[in-house]
Amino acid sequence: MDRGRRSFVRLLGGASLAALDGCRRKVTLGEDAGRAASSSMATPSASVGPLGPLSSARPAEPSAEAFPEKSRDLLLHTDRPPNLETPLHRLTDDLTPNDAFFVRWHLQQLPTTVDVEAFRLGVGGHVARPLSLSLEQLRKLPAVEVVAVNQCSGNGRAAFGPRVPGIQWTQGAMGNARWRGVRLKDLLDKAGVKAGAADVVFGGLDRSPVSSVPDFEKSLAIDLAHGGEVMVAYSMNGTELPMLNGFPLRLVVPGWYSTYWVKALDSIQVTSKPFEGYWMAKAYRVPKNDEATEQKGTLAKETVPISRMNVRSFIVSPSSDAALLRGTAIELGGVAFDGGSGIRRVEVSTDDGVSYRDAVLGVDLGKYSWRRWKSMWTPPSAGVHTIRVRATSGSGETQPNEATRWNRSGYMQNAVERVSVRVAG
Amino acid sequence: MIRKLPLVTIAAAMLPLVLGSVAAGGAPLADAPAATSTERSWSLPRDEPELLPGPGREAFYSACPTCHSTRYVTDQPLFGRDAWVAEIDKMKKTYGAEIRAEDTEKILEYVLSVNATSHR
Repeated sequence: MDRGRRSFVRLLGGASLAALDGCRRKVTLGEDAGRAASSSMATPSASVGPLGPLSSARPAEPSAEAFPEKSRDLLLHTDRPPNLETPLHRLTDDLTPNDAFFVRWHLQQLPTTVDVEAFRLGVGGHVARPLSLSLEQLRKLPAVEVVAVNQCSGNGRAAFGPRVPGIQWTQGAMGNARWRGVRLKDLLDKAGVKAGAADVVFGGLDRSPVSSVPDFEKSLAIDLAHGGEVMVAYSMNGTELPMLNGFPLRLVVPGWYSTYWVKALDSIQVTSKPFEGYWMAKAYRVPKNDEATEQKGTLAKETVPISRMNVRSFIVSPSSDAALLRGTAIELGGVAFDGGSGIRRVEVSTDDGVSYRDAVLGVDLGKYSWRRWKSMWTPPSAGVHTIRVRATSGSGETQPNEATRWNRSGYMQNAVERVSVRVAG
Repeated sequence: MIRKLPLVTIAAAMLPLVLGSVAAGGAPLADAPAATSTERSWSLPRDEPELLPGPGREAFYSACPTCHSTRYVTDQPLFGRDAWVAEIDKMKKTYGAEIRAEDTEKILEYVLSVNATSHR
């Protein structure tokens, strides 16, 4: 089937299904979003992604050269630097295959050549014994593993209303993988962090072609960096990291948005003063309130660096174009995760949120992993049915029914997801 | 409104950017030095729509694609003038894009036109 001409409808709470003609559906999701959606639907467009008119991302043309180590069905947002989204149908597993794992870079010069023998990871700054470690040396240190979700801060940005600029991720700027590497704590202890340390700053091999663009550097407070859970990973799902996911080393910060998971990591610097680099002080910040929310007309005066992920759940199947029959049972399924307290409960609605029932939770791979959920459903009647899903975390956090959160950068979307399907009688 | 850029055009349009030892089309350079046994290399494809003719196109191409694909424009939803003014301002003030004052307005009109066309 020509994916480009297919119109999916996967909506967040707050979106209303205004019209449905079986092929193209009109959505409204905030005033601006509604306008954008309507206007893009006036003419059938070849650019229709998983959020229908909300995103123009689609797989690259079959004639185009594939991105290295990546499947051709990833949705192409931008090619330079590469920003590729995982389509929902590749999110059906406990662990997301490396070739389907989403890709997000900020600067266009990527480390497309790495000499694995000459490569060194530097650990320095406010330490007693600066280190310069080869990959071989790192692999000889005690190894640890964690299964953890890696999710972009802007996953779901396309569903914000009013719309906000940035890569228009729908739902696939996330994946779940088994990461293997060394504890950052062990490296810091080896280097001997001096008293009075404030932050640890992480840098990678990527660069901008112009010197005015700040290098991509992120920092974590020393207590978190030294807490034992943050990892320098050299392996992803049992094999080396794909270049586009950070070969040869990547920081893994379980429970935190992927902006901190610095790729092609080659520099770890301990500071004695709070780090104030661009990517911490100016970018990747959210309004300083519990809901990370502000209004377009009155932006929050105070912002803080984005940090831990909020609770989310997704419907992976059925897709909105599934062929369903009245009286024939199907399995609904998807994934749920939060920032580290685990998933306590997932509830599913097949009547657009009027009533919910508990879904069955899949295998528990740890508090930082996502957890698959499933629920059987027999469509009771022909026509359009809307399925919703919501999760409750181990700490009791749940998802807002409506897409009420808004911030200027389109971060931390977590409204209840829904999908409308047509049932034949 | 989008058509594929011929390879030769991409090569001609290559700005002072470097994608490792990779030719514009993504294929390894024929005369690149042989990789040592411990070196790993990857090539990245360019898959960038050439934007249609229109007023301001030259100013746009002289500045914006230095740092990023034209897909950074075509990936966006429909935005109004204020939003694009803010974006261009951010590129200049925050990221140091070298845009001459007389080109700013031209680029603004062009991206507004490209953005509107892609959502028509």
